[in-house]
Order: sequence, then structure tokens, then C-alpha cells
Amino acid sequence: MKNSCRILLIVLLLIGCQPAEKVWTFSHKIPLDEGVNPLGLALMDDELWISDPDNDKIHRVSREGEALETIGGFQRPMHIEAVGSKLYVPNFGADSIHVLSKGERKVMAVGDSLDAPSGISILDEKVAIADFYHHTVLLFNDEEWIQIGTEGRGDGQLYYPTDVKLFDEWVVVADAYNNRIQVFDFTGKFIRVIGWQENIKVATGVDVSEDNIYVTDFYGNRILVYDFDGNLLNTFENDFNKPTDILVLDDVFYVANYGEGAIVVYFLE
Amino acid sequence: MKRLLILVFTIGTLSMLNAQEPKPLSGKIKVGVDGLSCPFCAYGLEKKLKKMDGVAEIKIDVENAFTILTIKEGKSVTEEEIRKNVKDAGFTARKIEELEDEE
Repeated sequence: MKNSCRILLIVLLLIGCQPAEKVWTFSHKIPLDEGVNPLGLALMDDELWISDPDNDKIHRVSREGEALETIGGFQRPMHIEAVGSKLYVPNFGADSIHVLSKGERKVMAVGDSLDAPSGISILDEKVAIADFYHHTVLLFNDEEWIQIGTEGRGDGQLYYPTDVKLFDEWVVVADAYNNRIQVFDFTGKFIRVIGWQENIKVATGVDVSEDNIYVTDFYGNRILVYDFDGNLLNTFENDFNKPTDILVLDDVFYVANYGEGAIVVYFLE
Repeated sequence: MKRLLILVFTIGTLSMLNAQEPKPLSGKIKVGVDGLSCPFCAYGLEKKLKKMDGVAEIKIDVENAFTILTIKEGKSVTEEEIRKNVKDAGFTARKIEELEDEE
């Protein structure tokens, strides 16, 4: 009896000592200046960079929300990407990619002509560009530029892609007007469709963490979270107004609320 | 013989009407466009319409589903050109009309 009590006590102690599972929780919103509707998000040097296609500008903002700098001279900048000290900006209206680095601006050489580039992702030497009006993703896979997807509604086909993320071995595409996410490998082989069951109303933005795929549903005013097999894990609603992009870090995610002119902040706690 | 003459006259008149140049549109032109929704759509439409020779400015009203084209002084565009470029952008143009100056 005494031993049983000891075992019971130890089990209870072990259960009690286990940390509670962390969950994403709404924290606050960062309001932007009047007339600024954020579309794309990136993090560089621990500061947020925000594309503002309505005003042809990029804004630099501290993670606390303090406006630090505004840079003009773009033509409808969309989903941006930061790598090291470089910021990659797709100029949707000018069919080009601008690269900002330490005060300098260059135009990136791309293997094919673009028609409204809407998103870019860089992973080591690999580059992927969502090519909106060509209904493809242009991928530099370490060796050559290849085209992923053709216009259409079937598996492996794209219809107005707006964002792309390279992660591990995968090319994850926001297949906006097919209302879904599609995953390809670096050879361009179709792997799977994600989100087709959730009635997404324009899948405008995507980001990827170690375990999950996060999707912004523009007209659904929500964020959907999937595992890599396509299982829906979570849905966040209430705090979003025409979300266009999501930036996921270790213990925080930021969402561009295009319809509200604000950035939504969630913490993992 | 009389019937034959009437037939020839009718065919001739119809051919002349068909051969007429498309009506040039200038000043400010309002184009109804269904399906405009996200910024990608709006700026996609803007991009395609900008390619038209003679277009000086484009304003897109997503909420009310129309765009206003301002045509350069001395230039004009045709309804067919507008419809083609709207279609290239992935939409269908509805009513196209020239606006009065004060609008």
C-alpha cells in the first residue's frame, strides 16, 4: 500500500511538472500610417519591412511598431523576401525584381521574362518567383531556371499564383485563384494539394515553419495552419481583415491586414 | 429587277456600316469590370491597361467595380482595345462610356 502511494505521488508530480502546451494567442495590432495598406512582410536586422503597393513604397518598422524609414521608386511591390542584408522586392507593375542592400538598389537577373511577379523566395542558391500572369513559378534550382506549373485547375497546375516559399526540399505555392496551396519538389514534380477542403477564398500568402504551413485567406478573413501532409491543425479568425501575407518566426507571427492598414501580432505562449 | 436593286442597296449599306472605323474614345472613360477583388487583380488590370497607347492615368475603384481611364490630349482608344486588355487581365469589361469633363 505504501509503495502504491509512492508510485501514485510520483506519477502525479510528473504530470504536474509537464509544461503546458504553447498556443498561438492574439497579442496586439500595429496600426500603420493612414493610406498605408500592407501587402508583403519580411524581417531583416530584427526590423519589419512592409510592402505598400497602393503607394509604390516599402516601409521599415521596428517590431514594436515605430516607423523608421520609407523607400519609394517601386511599381506595385508585392510579397517581399529578406535574406541576410538583402531585401528582394517583386515589382508587379514593372516585371522586375529589385534587390536592396546597404543603400544600393539593383535589378535581379531572371532566367525568363516575367509578367507581374507577385512573390519571391530564396533558399541558399535557389530562387523561386511567383509569376502571376504566366500562371507559373519560375525556379532556379542551383543549376538552371525551370518553370513549375501551367495555367489550369488540375493537380500541378496554377491559376494566378501570388506567393511562394522554399523550405527544406519543397516549393510551397499560394495558388491564389485555385483557392489552395500546392507543394512541388525542386525538380518541379507535383507533390500535393493543401487546403482544397477548407473553402479558401483567395489564398494570397503563405509561410512555412519547421512543422507547419500557414496560409492567409484574403476574403475568408482568416489564417489556416496545416501540417506538411495537408491536415488542418488550426484556424485563426476574428482579428483579420483581408490578410495578404504572414511572417512566422519562432514565437511570434505577423499578418499583413491589407483591408485595415495594420499588422496583426500573435505570440506563442 | 426592283427587288434585286433593293437587295443590292441593302447589302451595300450594311457593308459600309461594317467597314466603319471603331468609334474613338477620348477624355475620361469609365469601364465597368466585374470580379475585381484583391490588390493583385486591381494592379493586374492597371498593368494591362497601361500598355494601351494613349492612356495617361488609370484609377481603379475595387469597391464599385469600375476603372476610369484618362486618355492623353489628342489621343484616343477604341472600345475593342479596352475590352481586349481587360480580358488579358483576366476580367470581362461591362459598360464602357465616355464621361463628361466635369466628372
